[in-house]
Amino acid sequence: MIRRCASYAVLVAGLIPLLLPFYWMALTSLKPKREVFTAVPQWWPAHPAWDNYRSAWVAEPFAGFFFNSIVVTASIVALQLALASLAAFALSRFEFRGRSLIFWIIVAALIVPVQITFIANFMTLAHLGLLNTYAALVAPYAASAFGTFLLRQAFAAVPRQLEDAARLDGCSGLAFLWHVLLPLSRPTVLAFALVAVVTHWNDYFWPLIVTNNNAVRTLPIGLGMFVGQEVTTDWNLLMAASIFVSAPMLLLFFLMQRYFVQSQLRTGIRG
Amino acid sequence: MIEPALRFAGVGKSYGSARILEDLDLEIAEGEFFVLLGPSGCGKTTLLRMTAGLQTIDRGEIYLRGAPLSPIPPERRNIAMVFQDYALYPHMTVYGNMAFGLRRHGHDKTETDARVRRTAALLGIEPLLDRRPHQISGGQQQRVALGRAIARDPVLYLMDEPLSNLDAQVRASVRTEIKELQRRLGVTTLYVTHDQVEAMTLGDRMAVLNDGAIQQAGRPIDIYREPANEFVARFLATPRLNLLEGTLEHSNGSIVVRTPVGAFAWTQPPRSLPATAKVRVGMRPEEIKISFDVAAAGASLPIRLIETLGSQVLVFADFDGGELTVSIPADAMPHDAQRIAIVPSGSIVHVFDHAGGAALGHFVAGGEG
Repeated sequence: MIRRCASYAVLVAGLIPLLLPFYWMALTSLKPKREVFTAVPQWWPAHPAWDNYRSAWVAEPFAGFFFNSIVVTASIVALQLALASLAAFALSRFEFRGRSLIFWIIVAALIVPVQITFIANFMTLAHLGLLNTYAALVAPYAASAFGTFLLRQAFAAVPRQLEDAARLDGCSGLAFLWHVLLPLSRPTVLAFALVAVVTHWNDYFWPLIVTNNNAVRTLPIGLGMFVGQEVTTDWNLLMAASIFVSAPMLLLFFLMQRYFVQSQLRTGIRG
Repeated sequence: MIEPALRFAGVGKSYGSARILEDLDLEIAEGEFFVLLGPSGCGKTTLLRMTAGLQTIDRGEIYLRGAPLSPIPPERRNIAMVFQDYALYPHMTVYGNMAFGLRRHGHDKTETDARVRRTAALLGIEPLLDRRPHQISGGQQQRVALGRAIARDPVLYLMDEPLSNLDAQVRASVRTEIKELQRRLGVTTLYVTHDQVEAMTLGDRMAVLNDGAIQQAGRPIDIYREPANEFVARFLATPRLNLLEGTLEHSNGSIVVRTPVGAFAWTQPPRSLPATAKVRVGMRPEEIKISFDVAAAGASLPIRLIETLGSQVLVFADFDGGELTVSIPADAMPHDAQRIAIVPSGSIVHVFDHAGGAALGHFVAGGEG
């Protein structure tokens, strides 16, 4: 009993520094402007200003940003999954010359920081006249070395006999990928997709440099617009906007958490 | 002439310069249960996979009911395979596993459902249809794998060591079940194993493979009684074949085979026997007659170790130059035995060429020569 209490105490102690920023964000989003900076920290909104949300929503074209973020993130993740599954399928189940060389090049690509590619990608897009388009936001991220690597490892773990059985069942090539490899690798696919969604939903720098037009801008840039207008940042509005920008991600995590807990590959083979 | 269900004509396979399978010929009749027996790496699984279409044939051709198989992709060969590791789809239910191949082969939902349920009833696995493979036992998984093959209603079953991952007890019961099912369904079956008991009990006929070549093919009992060479004799002996150096001594029409453990009279030797004097002599543990009445016998061997298997007892005895293993019924074993004497009369002897190992003859020894 005492051990149990002690372990909960440790967990709660660890939770406080993690949750505090979120609480402060939510708190600030409900404060009237004059209560944002008080000498004594105020831990409860005395006069909840729900109106902040409406003001934030219309302060910038957030509806459009939301739409853009969804289109861009969904396109990136869909392309990454499609390309990574196909590449991983080839790398894990086919014999061909240069297979391991290609695999190691992909692994090496994991080490390269993404910032190194920015200038080259920007110039390419500029020459193609694609700046300020969805293509500029999506194309550089369409292929993921990380996703390819993860899926290759998952596919390689699927036993050869299962592939043989599937072939005799009339399920070879892409049908095998679709009906057997991907369902068996679902935990890996979901984990990767989740990381990709969060990464690209939150991405700020790349969308900032390839867009200068609200028609294609995404949510993080919308948030950025609250800041930096001299000293007049409306922190309460910024926090309100931050809440509705991060809400979809929080929701996603709540919905998906059971897959993290029970993520294991059942190989279907004795053992 | 009736076309055999399955015919291998000069079938060979190489990896680079290594010949995995010598060009081999084999015919399997319609409805026959044929076993390929051999040690691991002998090429038996390769032969099975080539029949299924999972591996290409380098030389020769395999004919299924007279039609050459190599132009036909695996899924259109109308062959079903049962794998050593069951190879069930882990993300599908038992029902899904059995239905998947049927659906892929274009059967509609009603037909598929009917076939799956009929097969499940046949195998007694109806209560398992909604479970997933990891929720059922190994024996049940292998039964489902059999069901998946049966539901397809193919013209040929291929079975790749389907019992070797099962516990001894389950193995024996599934073995019986496979035999009964095959009898009932009458579908030609090619079964690969390294286990001589499975080969002996299951096969209508069998072939012993070693180093990618067929050593001997025929009815299991014939192969057991008259192994074609030393390898086959050794492979069909439990726990091991006693191999002795021997000499042939001709004396007025009959021959005496002299070995370090005794002399065996070959009363009707084949006329074609070569004039060679040095031979190798093989005797299975259960083929040696012994006596514990060592006083009456001329020579006796000291017992080194006794292993009780239950109904049988293995006696390990030393002789000058080696160790002899003899198997006798447990109730024939005295408590205080120290030595055994070999009784030549009635012992079964296999004589092999000293150089090549080919069998020269097999006989039941007569009285002392």
